[in-house]
Amino acid sequence: MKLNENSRPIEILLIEDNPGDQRLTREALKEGRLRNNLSIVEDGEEAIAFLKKLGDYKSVTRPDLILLDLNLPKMDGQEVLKIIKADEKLKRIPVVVLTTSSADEDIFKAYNLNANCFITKPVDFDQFIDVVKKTGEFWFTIVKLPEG
Amino acid sequence: MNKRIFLFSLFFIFIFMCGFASENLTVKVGVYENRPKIFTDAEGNASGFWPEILDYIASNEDWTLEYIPGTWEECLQRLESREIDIMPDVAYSEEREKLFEFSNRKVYTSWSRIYVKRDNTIYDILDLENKKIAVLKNSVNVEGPDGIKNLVKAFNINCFFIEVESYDEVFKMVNEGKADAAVASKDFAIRNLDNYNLINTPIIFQPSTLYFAFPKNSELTTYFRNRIDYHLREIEEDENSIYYQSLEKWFVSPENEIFPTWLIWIFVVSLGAILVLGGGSFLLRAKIRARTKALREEILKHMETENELQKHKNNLEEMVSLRTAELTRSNKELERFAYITSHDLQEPLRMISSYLQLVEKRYKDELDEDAKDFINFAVDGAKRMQILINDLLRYSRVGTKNIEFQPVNCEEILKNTLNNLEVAIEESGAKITHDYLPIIKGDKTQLGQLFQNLIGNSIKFKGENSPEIHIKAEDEGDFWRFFFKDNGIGIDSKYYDRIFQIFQRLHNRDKYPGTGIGLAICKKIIERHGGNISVESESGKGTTFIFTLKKEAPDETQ
Repeated sequence: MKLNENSRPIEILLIEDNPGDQRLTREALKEGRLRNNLSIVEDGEEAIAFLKKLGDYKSVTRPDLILLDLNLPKMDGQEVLKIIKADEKLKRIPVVVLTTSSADEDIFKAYNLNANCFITKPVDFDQFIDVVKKTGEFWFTIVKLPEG
Repeated sequence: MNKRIFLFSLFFIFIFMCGFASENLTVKVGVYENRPKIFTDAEGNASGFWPEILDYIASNEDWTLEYIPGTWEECLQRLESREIDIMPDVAYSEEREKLFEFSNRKVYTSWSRIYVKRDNTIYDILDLENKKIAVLKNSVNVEGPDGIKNLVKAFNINCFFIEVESYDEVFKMVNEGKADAAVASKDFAIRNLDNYNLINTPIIFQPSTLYFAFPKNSELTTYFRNRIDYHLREIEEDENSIYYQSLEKWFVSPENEIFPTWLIWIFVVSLGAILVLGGGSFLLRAKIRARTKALREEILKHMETENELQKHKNNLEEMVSLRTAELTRSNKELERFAYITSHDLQEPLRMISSYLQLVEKRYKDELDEDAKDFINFAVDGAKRMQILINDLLRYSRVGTKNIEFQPVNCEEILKNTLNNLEVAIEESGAKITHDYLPIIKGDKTQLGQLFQNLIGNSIKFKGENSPEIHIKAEDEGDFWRFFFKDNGIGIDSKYYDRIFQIFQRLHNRDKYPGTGIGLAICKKIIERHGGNISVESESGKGTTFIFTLKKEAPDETQ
C-alpha cells in the first residue's frame, strides 16, 4: 500500500545531470511506498526555468519536494539553491541536497544557503533506496509543511 | 687695536679660503635693509652685524653664502616657502614660532621706540591719539604681542598706521611729513636719526630678542641650527671673538664704518703676515678638505652598505612572498584534491556498485551462484575503494585544515574518547587507566582523533587477555611526552617505520579490518603540533606508543 493512496501523488523535481543517478533515484522511488510524479531536469538553468514556469515549462506542476545535486553543468547546485531560497514563491519548497560529496565545505555551504537537509548518497544500492524512501516519507508523512 | 688686526686677518683668510671653496654647501640667506644690523652696502654686498657673524660661521663650516635681498616681508615669505635657508634678525614671537624654527641661542637683544620730528610734541603714548604712525610691515614691533598695535589698543588709542617696506621708508614718511611718528628698532635709529632729522621719544617698547630663523620642515634646518648654535656659543664665550668685535663695531662706535687711514698702513704692513697666515690656512684648508673627503667617502660607504642591506631585505621579502604564494597555491590544490576525492572519484564508484547491486536484485533468479559471487566481489571492491578514498581525504585534511591552537585539557580529551569508544570498550572488556594528563596548546578535534586512533588500535589489536591500556604524560621542559601502553599483540621491531606510513597494513584484512590510515593520521597530527611519535613493542606482550607534544603552539608555517 502506498502511503498517500488517497491523496494526489507527490510531485518531486530531481535536479541531476548524471543519467545513472537519475535512473537510480527513479528506481529507488519505485521501490518506496510513496505515490509520486518524478520530473527530472539536467542543469541549474533548466531547474530555474522549470520552477519559474518559463518557456517549455509553462504548464508544469509546482513540485512538493526538490532533490538537488550539487555538481551541475552551467549553473551549479549552490547557485540554484540560492535562487530558490531567495524567491518568495519557491522558498517554502523543501530542498534536499542529495549528492556524492561528503566534503565539510559543501555541507556547510548548503546549510548556509538554507538547504532543508543534506544527504550524501551511499555507495550501497540498498542503502540508497532506503535513503530516498526515507527522505520521501519523512517530508510527506512526518513533516508538517505550509499549504502552497 | 689687536682686535682690529685680528678682524682683518680673519676677513682676508675668509676671502682667501673662499677662493678654494668649490664643493661647499650653498646657503641662501635673506637680507633686508636695517642698517647697521643688516643691509646692502654700496657695492651691493650684504653687510652689517648679522652678515659678519654669519660670514664667520660660514667660513668655518665651508658654506657659500648667497644673500638674497628683499623687503622684510619678502624675506619672511621666502623663509616660510623655504626659498631661503636662514633669515637673520628675527625676533621671537609665538605667532612666528608656528611658521619658523629659531636658533636656540639668542644673538642680540633690542627694543623699539617711537621717533618723531624735532618739532613734534609726542612725549607720551597717549599723545598718539589720532596720529599717523609709519611702521615696518609685518615687523614684530608692529604685529607682535608687545607691538605697537597691541600697545595702542591697550590704551584705547585711535591712530592710523602706514605700513611700508623698510625702516628707511618709515623714517622718510615722518621726515616728509606724511606721518607723525615712526616706529623703529633702536639699532636702526642709532645710525639714522640724524639723516632723517628725527629725535627719540620716551616711548620705548617691545623688548625683543633676535635670533636666526629657519624654515619649518626643511631637511637642513636641524643641521643649520645645530651648527649656528655651536658657533654662537663659541663666539659668545670668547670675549675676543668676532661677536664682540661686531657688536662694538656696529652698535657702539658709528665711526668704525669708515676705516681711519692709519689702519691702512697697518694693513699694508700686515699683508706679509696675512699671506703667511693665508699659507697656513691653505694647509689647514687642505687638511680639512682631506678629512671632509674621507668622511664623505665613509658616509658613501655606509650608504652603500645600507643600500645593499635594503636590497637583500627586499630580495628576502620577495622570496617570502613568492614562497607564500606557492604555498597558498599548493594548499588550494590540496583543497581541490580533497574535493575531487570526496565527490568526483566517488561518483563512478557509486555507479559501479549500485548498478551491480541493481542487476543482482532484478535478475536474482537468472543469475547462478558464480555470477552472484562475482558481483559481490566487485561491489565489495567498490565499497573498499570508497573507504580508501575517504581515508585519503581525512589524511589530507589533517595537513590542509587550518588548525586552531588553543588550550586543550588532555584529561577531557581522554574522557570524550572513552565515550566515543564506549561500545568497543564494553565488548572487549578493556581497562583503561591514566596518570595526570596536562593542558596543552593544540587543536581539540585533531588531538581527539589522535587519542581515539591510538586507544582504538590497542583495543583492536588486543592479545589473548582483555585489553589493559595505561596513559601517562611526562614533563620534558618545552614538551610533554605521552605514553600509550597496552598489552596487545605487539609489533615486530622491523615494522616500526612501516606502521606510520599511509595504507600500510601488517595483517590480513579478514582478521583486522581497516585501510591502514590510523597511525599515518596520528603521525601527521603530532607533526603538525610540533612533536614526533615512536613505538616500543614486544611481540605478544604489548605496545607502547610514545609521542611528544609542544607545550606552546608551534609556528604555523609548515
